[in-house]
Amino acid sequence: MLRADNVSFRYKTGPWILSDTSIGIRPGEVVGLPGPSGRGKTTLARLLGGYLHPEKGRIGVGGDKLPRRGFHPVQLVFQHPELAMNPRWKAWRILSEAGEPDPQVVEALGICHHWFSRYPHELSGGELQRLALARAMNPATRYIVADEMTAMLDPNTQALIWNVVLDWAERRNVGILAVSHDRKLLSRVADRVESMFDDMVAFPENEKGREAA
Amino acid sequence: MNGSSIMHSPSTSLADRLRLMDGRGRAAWTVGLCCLYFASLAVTAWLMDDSGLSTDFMNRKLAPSLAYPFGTDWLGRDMLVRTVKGLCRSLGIGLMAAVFSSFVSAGLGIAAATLGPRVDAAVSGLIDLVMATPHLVLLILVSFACGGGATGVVVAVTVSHWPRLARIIRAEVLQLRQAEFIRLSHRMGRSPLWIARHHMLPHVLPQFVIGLILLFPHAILHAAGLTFLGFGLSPHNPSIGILLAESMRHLSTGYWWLAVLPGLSLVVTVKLFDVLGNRLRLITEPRTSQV
Amino acid sequence: MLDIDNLRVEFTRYGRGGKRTTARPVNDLTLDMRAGEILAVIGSSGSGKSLLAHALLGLLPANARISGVMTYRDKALTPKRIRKLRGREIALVPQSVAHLNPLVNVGRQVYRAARLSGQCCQTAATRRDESFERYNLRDTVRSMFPFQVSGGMARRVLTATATAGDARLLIADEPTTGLDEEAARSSLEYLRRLADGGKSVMLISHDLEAALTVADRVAVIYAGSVVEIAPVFQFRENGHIRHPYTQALWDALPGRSFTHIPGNQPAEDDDRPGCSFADRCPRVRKQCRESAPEMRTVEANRVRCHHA
Repeated sequence: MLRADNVSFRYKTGPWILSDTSIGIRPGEVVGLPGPSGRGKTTLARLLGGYLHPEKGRIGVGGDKLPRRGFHPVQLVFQHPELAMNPRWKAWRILSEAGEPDPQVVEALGICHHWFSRYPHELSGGELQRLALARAMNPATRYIVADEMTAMLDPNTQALIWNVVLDWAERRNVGILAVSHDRKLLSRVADRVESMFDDMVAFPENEKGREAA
Repeated sequence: MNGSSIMHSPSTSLADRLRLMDGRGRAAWTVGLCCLYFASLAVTAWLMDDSGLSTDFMNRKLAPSLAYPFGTDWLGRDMLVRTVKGLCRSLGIGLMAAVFSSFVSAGLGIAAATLGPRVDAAVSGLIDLVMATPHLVLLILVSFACGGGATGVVVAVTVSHWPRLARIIRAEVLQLRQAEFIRLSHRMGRSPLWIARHHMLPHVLPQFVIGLILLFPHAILHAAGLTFLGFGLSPHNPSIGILLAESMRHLSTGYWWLAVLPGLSLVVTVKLFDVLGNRLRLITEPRTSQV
Repeated sequence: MLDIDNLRVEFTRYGRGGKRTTARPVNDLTLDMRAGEILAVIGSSGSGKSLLAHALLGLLPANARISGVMTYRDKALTPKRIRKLRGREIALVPQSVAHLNPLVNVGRQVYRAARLSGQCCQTAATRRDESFERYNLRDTVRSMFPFQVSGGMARRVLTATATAGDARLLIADEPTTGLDEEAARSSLEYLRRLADGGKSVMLISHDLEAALTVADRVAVIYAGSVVEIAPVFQFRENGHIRHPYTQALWDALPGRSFTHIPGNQPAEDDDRPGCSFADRCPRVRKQCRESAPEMRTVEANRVRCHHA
């Protein structure tokens, strides 16, 4: 089970973005994480993915802490796939960075072979997101954190991506954390929903125009 | 409905077929022509023998003509030969200076971006120090300290020009280190060395090469400038700086071709290097290479 | 208000080894807009919807080749006329604050937008104040810079920039992207109010669900062409959706069956004859691969399909 126990995080000496937050995702389970933006959902996603390290608390799988090197068992899929790719690399290289991708996954996601020789700026958002997901669907992946993965996509591509990843995750007993503000989507894909960020009262915009952290 | 067709359609003219009408095609042509110019300059200098450099008191101070396209100087030496050979020599010096300077830039830039905040502070301080010093003063001091000559010029240009490219490379590497795809690569199990070689190098290398090429004009001009002022190359072998220095004496007496023609040649050569560097950048950037 | 007939936008591209291909990201696009309505233009990324907005505003790159007929208020919309009208009668609601000048405070930018639309200093200042009030933006917001304004407030500022003038046709490019439910809802609400006030709003988005909450008609765009324009009442249990792609998008919603159709949009340089949806269509016939269908009116919908 992927667990974050009493995790607190802030940047240097800034305000606490996460304070004593806990979450658990079982293998093969899909957990939904709704809530308005700016609450810390993305920060939690990054902590689980090993991009950030908590100041307090711990994150681990089973009883072990997450590795700092080697293939990280928790893979993140971001909202903007073009940022997660080297703009000077061609698509085939991006796709195979973590090893040769599973051909069944590539086919299920509808990835065309003639995309392989293209650069990221030549492909559309939907195509890039499918490449990013295929890359994350690695045999060594145990958990996927989808941070607004399909927020920028049309309904058909969104359904395609989710159907494929849910099927794959079920067969391999991979846990998924679905971060999304789309409640209907979460009620479709999630087994259960963590409402820690949702229960918070939406802070009114203060004089400075910024929503208080 | 009073509509009308908005037609903008191209013609497949010769210009179109030769790819002159689009950015990348034009850039490729420009790069080709520039390279042709430099190649022919080098070949011409090599082909010309030194006879044009010998003094010939019969043909002193001749204005430009068919026999002597750049005229002759007060010793009867063929100005065209002197200019071409001088340019080549200046180009050679400029090349050496640009190469050394670029490697120093790359080394210090990468060190500043990857070896921690203290190294970064030290290198940045050094950059600020060198950039704050008046250019020409620094050049003269270093050249003098190194005893002048070709060595002096090369060292002087290296010492005064490395900051510019170093800042660019430092910024590029710093930005890359924060890039999402770099962190993702690490999370997929790739080692920092692998990431440096496969992710960062493709970004930094083009900057480096283009920075090197764009440094040429500066290096050549400064070599000429230093020589003109007497702190650079010796008068025994022709170089543009020497030509210009010597021609100063004769300008007031109306022998304009002694200064103007070598000067113009220098400007044109230097400008073409600049153009070459910029067009190459256009071609190698994946984003602009398809326009 | 606006009529577009068979609009085409072409570019010449260079592939491997300098091979030249012609990309046609907008391919025989036909649609119409009426006064006081919201027309949602729904399509996937790469379907040409943003290029449509650029074509209407004269913002296409210099190497673009355009053909087709565009008519605005019964007069031809030539490049010259577009330059006169944009910012005045045809305005863009930008997608994010990144599209604003980062060095000027938002109050001045809204004022400038009003001035650029042809108003004199006095009127422009009044209009700016009105705009700010209409969108519940406090006076303090006026002196803020774009980077200080975020989320829902940013959307309101962007809408204020577009409505500071007297634009009759507003183009809102992805007004709900990156916003959570609350902010997206208000953003759409403002557009609805503008339409109710008599303006025409073109709502460009990939989010069909959100668009259905405020749109009057929905134009579905696929591979650079509008395949169907349906009134919003067709999107319900016993409504009539006539194009298979529209049906696919509708069925793919999480609130409906969440099913998807496989395949991809044809490449921009694919110039095979026939319907562009043929490769993925569940109802494809021989005729579909031979000739491209024309836009026809079938009862309340306009649709481009041989089967409708």
